[in-house]
Amino acid sequence: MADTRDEIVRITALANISIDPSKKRFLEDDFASIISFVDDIHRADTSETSATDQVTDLENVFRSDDVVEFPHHRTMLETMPHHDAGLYRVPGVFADDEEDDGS
Amino acid sequence: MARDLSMMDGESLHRGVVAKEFSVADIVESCLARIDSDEERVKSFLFIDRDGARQEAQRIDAARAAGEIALPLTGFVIAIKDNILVRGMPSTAGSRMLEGYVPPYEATAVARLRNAGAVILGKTNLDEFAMGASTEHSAFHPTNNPHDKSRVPGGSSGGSAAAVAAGFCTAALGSDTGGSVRQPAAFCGVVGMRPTYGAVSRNGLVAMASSLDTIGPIARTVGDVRRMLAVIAGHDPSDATSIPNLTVAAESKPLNLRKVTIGVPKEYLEELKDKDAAAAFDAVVAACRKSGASVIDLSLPTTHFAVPTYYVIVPAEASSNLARYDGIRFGRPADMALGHRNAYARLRGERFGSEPTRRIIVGTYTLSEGYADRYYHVAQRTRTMIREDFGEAFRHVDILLTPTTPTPAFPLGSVQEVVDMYRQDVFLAAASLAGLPAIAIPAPRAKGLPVGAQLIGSLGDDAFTLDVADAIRAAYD
Repeated sequence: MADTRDEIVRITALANISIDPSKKRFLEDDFASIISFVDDIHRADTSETSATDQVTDLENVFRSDDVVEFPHHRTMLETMPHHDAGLYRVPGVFADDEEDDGS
Repeated sequence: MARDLSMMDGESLHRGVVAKEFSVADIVESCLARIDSDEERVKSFLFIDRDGARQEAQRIDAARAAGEIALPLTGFVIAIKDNILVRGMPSTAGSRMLEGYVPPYEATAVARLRNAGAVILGKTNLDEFAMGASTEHSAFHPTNNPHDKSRVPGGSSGGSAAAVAAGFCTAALGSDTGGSVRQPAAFCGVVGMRPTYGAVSRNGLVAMASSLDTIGPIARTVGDVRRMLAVIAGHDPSDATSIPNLTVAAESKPLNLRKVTIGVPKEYLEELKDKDAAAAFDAVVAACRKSGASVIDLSLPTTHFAVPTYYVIVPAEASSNLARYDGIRFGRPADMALGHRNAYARLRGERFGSEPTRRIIVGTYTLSEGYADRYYHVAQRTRTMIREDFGEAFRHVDILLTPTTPTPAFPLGSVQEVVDMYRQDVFLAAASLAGLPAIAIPAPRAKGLPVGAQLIGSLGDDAFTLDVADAIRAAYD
């Protein structure tokens, strides 16, 4: 595995989660410990085995492609922290924001 | 003095209401009195709806007085794990991320309980986002084991199991991804079942690992677990993974254990190192043999891959499911002034506790480019091997009997290493990966502490698994 610290930096960016600097060392240690633990799966010979995605063997569970009225629009909107005129607000995506180191 | 109905089983409560020996309101008051007496020491709840429970009980009693017949769960007062949505009650999933969130809809399983006459009492504590084996990872407070308040109740459904054991409710719902109903049931000396994956709708269950999550009942008797499962199981068009045609009858079929072949996997016994827990399990096996069951040793050679496989697949799926928590659509609001990237990252870093953070990191890693082939795709294949192992075993036996946990409930704060907590799932993860029904029933005590025996059935054989559990309990009760 590449340097743990570098991996944590890469992964936290991918996962959209910022880690408090005071907790980074503990996370690095735990991460290394967990990866070492799960590496055990490589002792199995899976070369002739197919993957399991899900255990029910259900396929193509779709309803018919009909327009259905959804009566709960207002109710769902009211659970959202920021909403306005029937829409929910998100932070602007076009402005450049500086790297946030969590401090 | 009012009769204390809090520790009575649901079947007896139902009969008592039908016979007009007491009312549903009497049952609710008994539960609330027990909560007033003991909840401060157990801390099993995150929310108790006293007024709502009393009003619903009065409504049911008035309807009964007007001539309405009793429904299957009339007399049951039920607590719901806080990752299962109940309309109008806060749902936090044990996390600061969802603090203050009140869902506008409720889980199909909860709606079915209500429609069957149950009173919903409140929401119980859990490890944050159902990630844990002790309920110590709740963002709010730990729960204490009612049998020994210095010990954990297990997790992640520790609040539900503790509430049932303490008599705060008749029964509860929990969720089981890798043992989170079975393990706390064992630690608290009650019955808890993980149904066949897909038997109970996941609509309204806060998702952790979508290919393994199940909702399962916890109660003081196998019969009550069965009655609840009969109500909540069944196809739901709101859940695309809900399987058709799996129903469970509310009443058990009498079972002659002489006609049952029980398998005990030797690899599980090799992991059972606590001698008191081992003695308790031996007593269950002896009782089965004495009742005439054929008990044979067999091998599940992929057993030692189960927990590592589980801890690749679950964090991977959880990292995807927890990506929705961005402070935009529900839960704690993001700080819009930070800009879109920082708003999400900052909120998630602040609001997720240590275990969800670890699993998000591990899961994102094992799904990332360059690593998905090495970890996630390999784990999907070891999962297949585990399923095939069980398939082979069930060609020779009707059901499997195993311990539920390696030890009785451990002291609060005693398991500090992350991987040591993961190893608590050693007897539980494999059945989850294979989607099998599994039930934990109380075994004879281990040095005064509850431990459980686990029965694992073949896929879809929930009713038979319950029948065997009933018969085995009778064999050593």
